[in-house]
Amino acid sequence: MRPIAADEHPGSVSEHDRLGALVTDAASGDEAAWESIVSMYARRIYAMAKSRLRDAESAEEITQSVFATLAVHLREGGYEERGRFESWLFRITMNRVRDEGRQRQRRSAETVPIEACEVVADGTGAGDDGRLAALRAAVGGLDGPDREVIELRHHGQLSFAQIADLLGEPIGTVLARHHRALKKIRRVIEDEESLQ
Amino acid sequence: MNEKTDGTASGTDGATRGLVEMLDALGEHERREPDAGFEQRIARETRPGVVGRVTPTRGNRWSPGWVALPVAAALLLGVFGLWMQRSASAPPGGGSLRLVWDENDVDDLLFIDGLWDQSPITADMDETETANENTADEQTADELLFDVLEGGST
Repeated sequence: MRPIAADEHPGSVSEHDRLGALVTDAASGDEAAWESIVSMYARRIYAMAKSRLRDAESAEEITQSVFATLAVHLREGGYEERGRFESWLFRITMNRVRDEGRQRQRRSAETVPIEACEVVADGTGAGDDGRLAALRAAVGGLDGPDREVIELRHHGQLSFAQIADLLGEPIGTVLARHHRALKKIRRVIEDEESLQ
Repeated sequence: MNEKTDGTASGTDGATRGLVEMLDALGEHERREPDAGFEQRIARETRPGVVGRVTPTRGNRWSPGWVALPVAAALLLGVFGLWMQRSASAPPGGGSLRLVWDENDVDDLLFIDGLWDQSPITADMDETETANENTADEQTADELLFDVLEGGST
């Protein structure tokens, strides 16, 4: 079984079959298959967690937790390959990120609102960093459903069909939500730029 | 991105397309952040063959013993409660007569009421009289009836 490269995404039917076979091999203890799965998804999961939690250490913990859960399910036969592995994996990720976010709110300790911790582009920072910071702040200001679509799409690199399947919503709803989120982000960034 | 349609429907202006590219760049920036050994670290610590778990689950901690113990305790308490109840309702050992009658048993009540009239102890009692301290006034109704029934006075 040829491991699938990290930048290779199972979009076609044959790639789905390969991913399914990879998952099956990993479940039976094939370490190479497991490493391939981790290499395909670890950074995507990390990016989603980092976008929400704004903390590299927590993002790595979340990533490890997600793969630990996946390993348990595979080892105990709790996963049935039906060609929806990615949706399932990112659903686990979203739930972990939400749980961590809720726990932080309860502790009201280290989670600082993005608007407070990120340096919004004020013209003094480096170009790219400043724009990225402004973009992070704008994404952080979105409400839950809109933000999830943005993060699943641009950080998790899921297709809209996969996002729709994961969220259990029609693809048209997902597309509309994404478009609405883009408009909000653009408005926030334009407002920031107009203040400068 | 892994599909041609990136959410920008046909007719979407260039500004939105530019924003999509910026968001993709942000995602790429976040994905590149972990160090080179990140995947190996995650894979090593979480592979399915590893016995230890990073995130322990609670599901496997339950065993039949955990259920049997409270059930057994509940049963013991129930038995003990029943025993206490029966002990409390059992008549006491000999020496005293404890009268218990069914409040609906009118005949018994009338009989007992009649005994009061028949008793030589009570027959001469006049409500207007001042009772001697040591007379039947000092006795309870139960004691009076006991005397009558046990032949203390005929």
